[in-house]
Amino acid sequence: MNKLVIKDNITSDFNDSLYIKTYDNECIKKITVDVLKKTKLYIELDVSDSKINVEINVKKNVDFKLFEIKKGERLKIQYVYNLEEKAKMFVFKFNNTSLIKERSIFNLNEKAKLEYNFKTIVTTLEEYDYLVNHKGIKSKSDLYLNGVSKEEGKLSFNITGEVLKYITGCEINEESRIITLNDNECIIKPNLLIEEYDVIANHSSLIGGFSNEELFYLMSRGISEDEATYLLIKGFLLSNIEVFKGKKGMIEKIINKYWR
Amino acid sequence: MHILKINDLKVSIDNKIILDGFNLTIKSGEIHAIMGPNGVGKSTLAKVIMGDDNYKIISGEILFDDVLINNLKVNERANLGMFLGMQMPLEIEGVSNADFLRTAISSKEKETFKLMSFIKELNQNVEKLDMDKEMIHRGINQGFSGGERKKNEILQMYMLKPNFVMLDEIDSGLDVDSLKIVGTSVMNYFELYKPSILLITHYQRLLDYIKPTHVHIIKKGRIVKSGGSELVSLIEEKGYNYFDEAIDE
Repeated sequence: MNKLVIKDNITSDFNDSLYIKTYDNECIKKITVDVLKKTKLYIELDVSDSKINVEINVKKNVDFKLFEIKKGERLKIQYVYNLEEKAKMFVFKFNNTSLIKERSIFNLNEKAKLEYNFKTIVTTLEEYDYLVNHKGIKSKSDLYLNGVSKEEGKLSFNITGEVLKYITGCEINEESRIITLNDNECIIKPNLLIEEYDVIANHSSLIGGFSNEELFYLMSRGISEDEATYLLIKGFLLSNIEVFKGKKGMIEKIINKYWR
Repeated sequence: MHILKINDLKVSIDNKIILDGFNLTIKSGEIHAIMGPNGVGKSTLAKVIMGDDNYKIISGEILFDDVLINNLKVNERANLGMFLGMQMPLEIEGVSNADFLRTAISSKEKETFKLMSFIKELNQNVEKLDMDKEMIHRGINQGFSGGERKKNEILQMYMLKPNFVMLDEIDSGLDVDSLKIVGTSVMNYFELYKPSILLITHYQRLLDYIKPTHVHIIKKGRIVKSGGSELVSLIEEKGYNYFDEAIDE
């Protein structure tokens, strides 16, 4: 798999399906990746006190799968994902960060398809903004945002899906869930700004703990409440990882650090 | 020999009394069928025995092998060997059936748990229940039909080997073939391990496969008539309203 490592330095190990440009100084790191052919990319980010801009351009008809794992503190990151006509992008992203402000902008051209899975364990303040621009007809986006807030964690998801007039046949789906294991306030703001009638749009937002029914079911098989909660958290943070099955163990290790 | 005794149980939910003056004793090697119309407290009974804290025990006692279990947690009751096959098994995304069962069995067996034996036994039981092997790696009941969910409950029963089994409308959502597999599997389990079984059902069709030693009719939160399998025919013939007189008596 192609690999991009963003630490003090930026290093990449790519085949000919990807092309990278980087700019790195004391104030900001800028990375642009062009995806030219069907491929997978693994991004590992481990920096603190940094501003980072990442732009990913998925070319016409290209099928792209991205796995990203991130750690570090006091980060400001902006991602821009440009999906050209009929481009397909699947993302699985896991954040193990603190004090982060992250903004992601998705530009979807005609018949482009996006599936974005985001997971985070939050113990400080984390703020995430998403803007999904359906610029082309029949484009489709699915955003699944999952966070677990514990200790001093405060999490916010601000999600905006936008479809302008005459951009017909689009589908937008935003599903966000925050599991709160503390009393701090968490926020989800789902916004759908749609000017066109011929659009299918859904959103669901849920903030709270796991349901009593889920715990009862697991405990009725002899599993303790703590173990049942751990299983549910693991399931919550690992859902939709099948595409990157090989990375499951890595995320399980992080989860275990918090709950074992 | 295991014995579950329920003495003069009174239970409420949201200040509404569901069970009142409920008495029942079940021993190993007995199959008790609880029958009755909708909303009389059949499912409540199973959930209260299992320890669902949505329900409040106002008075009375539940004893398992002479130990008062009123205040035990759900998992503690399960670890005594109690099992509830649910009417509407939940779908839990992300937690695979295999992970779930492995956690449950290792919680029970602790140091004696052996992964290879677990996998072998799991595969054998999946085959026995005519389930798709791939389903075991999916989220709990994720994308399962009603029948598949019920088979999954029976699979869990076989893996956990409880000595007191409650099956809450295990026949609902099953087609004829699945009903036969589930019914036969429950009877095979009974023959093999001689547990006590509490079977909750509306219909006689499940009792074509699972033969109860005792039948109870429950109305207005308590048992109004007990007997043998002849009661099932009487219900079929006369309906549940016939037993209203028993309440008045």
